[in-house]
Amino acid sequence: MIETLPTTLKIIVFQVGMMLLLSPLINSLMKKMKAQLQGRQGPPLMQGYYDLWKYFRKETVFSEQVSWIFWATPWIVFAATLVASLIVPTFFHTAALHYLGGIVLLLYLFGLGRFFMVAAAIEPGSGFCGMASSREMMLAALIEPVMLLALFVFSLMAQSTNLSAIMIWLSGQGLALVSPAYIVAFLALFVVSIAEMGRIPFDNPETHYELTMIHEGMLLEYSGKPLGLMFWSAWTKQLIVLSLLANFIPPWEMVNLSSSQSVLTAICLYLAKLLLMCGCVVLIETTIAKIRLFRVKDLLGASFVMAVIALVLSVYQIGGVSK
Amino acid sequence: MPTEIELYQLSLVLFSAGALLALIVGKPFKGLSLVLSSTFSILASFAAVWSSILTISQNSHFRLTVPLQIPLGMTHLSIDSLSAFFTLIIAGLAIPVSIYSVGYLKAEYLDKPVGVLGALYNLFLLSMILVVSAGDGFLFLLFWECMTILSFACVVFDTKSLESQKAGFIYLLMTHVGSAFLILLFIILSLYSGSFSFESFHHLGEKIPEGLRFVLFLFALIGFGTKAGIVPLHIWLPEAHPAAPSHISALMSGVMVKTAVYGFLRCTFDFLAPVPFWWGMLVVGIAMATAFLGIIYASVEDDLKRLLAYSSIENMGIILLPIGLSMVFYSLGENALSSLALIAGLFHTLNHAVFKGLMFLGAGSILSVTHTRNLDRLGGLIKSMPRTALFFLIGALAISALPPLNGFLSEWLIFQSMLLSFNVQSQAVQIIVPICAAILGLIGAIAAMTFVKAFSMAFLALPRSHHAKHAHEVSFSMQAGMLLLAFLCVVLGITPFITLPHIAAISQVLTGTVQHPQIAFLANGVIQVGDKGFASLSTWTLFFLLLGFIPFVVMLPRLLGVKTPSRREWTWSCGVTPSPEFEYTPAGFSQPLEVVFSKLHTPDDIYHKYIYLPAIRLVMWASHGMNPIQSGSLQLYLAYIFVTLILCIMWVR
Repeated sequence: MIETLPTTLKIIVFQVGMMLLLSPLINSLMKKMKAQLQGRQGPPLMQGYYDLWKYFRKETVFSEQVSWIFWATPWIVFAATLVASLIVPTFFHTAALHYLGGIVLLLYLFGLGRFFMVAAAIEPGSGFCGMASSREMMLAALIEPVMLLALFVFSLMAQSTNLSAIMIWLSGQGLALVSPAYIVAFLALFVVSIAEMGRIPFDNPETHYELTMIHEGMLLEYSGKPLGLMFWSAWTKQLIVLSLLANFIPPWEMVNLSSSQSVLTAICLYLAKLLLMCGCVVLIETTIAKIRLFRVKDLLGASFVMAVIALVLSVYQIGGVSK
Repeated sequence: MPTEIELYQLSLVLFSAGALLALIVGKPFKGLSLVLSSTFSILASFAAVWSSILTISQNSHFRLTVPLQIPLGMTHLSIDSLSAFFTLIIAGLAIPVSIYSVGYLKAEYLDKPVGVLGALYNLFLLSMILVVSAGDGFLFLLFWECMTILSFACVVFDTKSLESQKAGFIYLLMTHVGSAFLILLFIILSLYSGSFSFESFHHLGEKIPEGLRFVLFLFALIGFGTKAGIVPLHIWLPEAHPAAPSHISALMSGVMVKTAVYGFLRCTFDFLAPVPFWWGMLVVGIAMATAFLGIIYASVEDDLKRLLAYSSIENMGIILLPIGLSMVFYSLGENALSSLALIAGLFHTLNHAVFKGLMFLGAGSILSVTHTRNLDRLGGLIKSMPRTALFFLIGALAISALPPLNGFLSEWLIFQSMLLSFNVQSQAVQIIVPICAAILGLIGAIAAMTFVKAFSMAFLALPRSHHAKHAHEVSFSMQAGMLLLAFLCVVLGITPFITLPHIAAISQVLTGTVQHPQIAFLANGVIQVGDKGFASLSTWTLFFLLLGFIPFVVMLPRLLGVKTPSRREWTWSCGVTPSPEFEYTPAGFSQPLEVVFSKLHTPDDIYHKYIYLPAIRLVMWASHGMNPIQSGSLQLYLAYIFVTLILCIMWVR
């Protein structure tokens, strides 16, 4: 069912606003957790907001060699990320614009942002950015099949590629759903989500050495407001991927939008699942070292095999819920 | 209001007139012949497009008799909605290409026999339209051969280049190998049906024994596969397509390979129906291999036109994939799913013609201005050719299947038709097809890498050569042709509710299904696939959201921050004046992916080593073995005649 225009606009504003406000906090939270695990204090939780405040007040320097693609890229990337945030369910099982698209649209919206980021990184003509962009495309090529297959296993169980429909189906199930197929598919999704978010062991989000940066490398030539926008869209993309992962963790409950207590429980549940996912990601980041660039294909290949195993298990209905 | 038959005949007449006039006027008035050939082809294409739209929307089927007496009856043209669809693609691409060719030929070919090229161009388009309109095997093969020879003439047009001559030779050889199989196919079919006409071939597969049917299917696969460029029959494509003049390359890559798809669809769905399950899986396997290998080879290319040619091979794989799936679903009784897959395949055929044509025209513009196709010698063209860069960017985004353009829409449709296979009873299909869908995602991502490399290395950063530094924007007609195609890329991507219902009607005719294919068009431009809302996509909303968020995104930092100055500085390159040497090279850009797939990039050409050289050696050995027959002795020749005569008399009795 497609809502009327005023309702749709209100929903869009709410969803986008929530995602934008929450994402710097989640990123700072992950930094804080990582610092605590490493025995440090870490930056304050509000640091993400302070950083954005700072970037939007700094002077912007553009290279002489760049064209309109360079300064249009932050806008395109941010817009694509915002549209992607509208199709992922958060605390309510139906996403803001559930009919807009599903799994394939989500991944290809990220791909749209990536295309422009890579093109914009080649523009200044510096070696670091070029290297980062070529590595980013290699990583993207290896991420796509794994993410698609892992999500397809879930969509085959739920008989829909629409993320909201998957969530609605999940809300109706109990813990019996968590079959071997489900667990293996979730593991595959988890590994590839870390790659999509650009965290260790695939890419280090806190380093600026040419040998170890991929996403950061593409941001090297940005400064001021464009840089603020690029960071904010990276954090929002991270929140989107974390929400996607959080959706697949039990328990699921049917949310009644009219009852405020139900909504409150749903929000708390969502935040708790997000926290759990952040914790897992940070734990991995602290305990495992970043792998060599050409080892990435081995890790993602193993993850692809896991997704295939999950697919076979689900087709032959070994354990778990029948369709 | 002219009927579709009159418009069709008008277009045939106009193409022929254009060819003739271009040839006559060619020697004395070069400029005039150029304009004449383009104008006539635009008018003829326009009439053909109008005729096709009428035919498709009314779902009509008309015949035109051709006064040619052949052994098994009269020949005729038969145009139904499938033929009209392919005519639409051919003529539809011809309009922007003809507009483009005015400026392109003026810039590049004025010192060569332009009249001949104009005539070849018009006749080439005419032969392609006649191929998809042929109503019997004889005409089909005749026009197929014409199409081949005319495009060969275009490929070797640049007589001074040794590469063009070699490319033309390989092209002619491979296509004739394919045509030999097609001739066999049609002869055997006519033996079973008693005539050459396609109507008599309809559902002939039911009368042909199982083994022979598979052999005929293989003949069709090889025959049409050589023209389409499926692996391992693709070796001519990367040589021939770049060698032709750019607007002809656009047509060859954009529509000539599609005539092979048309032929294949006719053979499998019309003639050899019903197809068994495993033929469909064979086609799916070949399609995946073609798509994957095509894009892998494209990703390491530095020559822009070869890159585009390999990408055409990849897209032919992507087109054959839902066609094979359609065959699989049809054999399992899922007619509605079968039509859906076919809709996806036909739609991608249309979209590929549009964006591949655009890319080749863009490559032609670059070539005419910088005189090089090598990405290593380009760069920085966005400053000197801004509009060409914008159109090329739209084409690159469309090929990489990025929203909200047409490439995304057709790949989305292909994904959904693959995933709906969970409905099917066969477990093999339920496992293999989603894995193929994931690999399609891999192929799409590698395609994105290839085209971001092609665009960035050609247009962005600093120019790497003297010609690139002194480039200039191309002429107005070249820009107009590219603008039209770029506009189509956007429009086809956001208006599926206009194009898809008609394609659905065509696919229903082919699969003979009366069930509604599982695609519905709701309000707000939402398409819904699958009966219980399996997937939905809203192209309008997507397009307006993407556009609408941009002002918001521009305003947001201004609201949260203060107005800050911005300035320009040279890129920091460790204190040295920035120069092209610091930039990433095309080869360097694709190197990580090349390392990942290093097993596929062997030093020697595996197709030559394992397939073609052994085949050539076999033929040479057989020919040498037959040498003693020609001994030169008159007595032996007389003995041959005598023995043959005795055998013939014995056989007839």
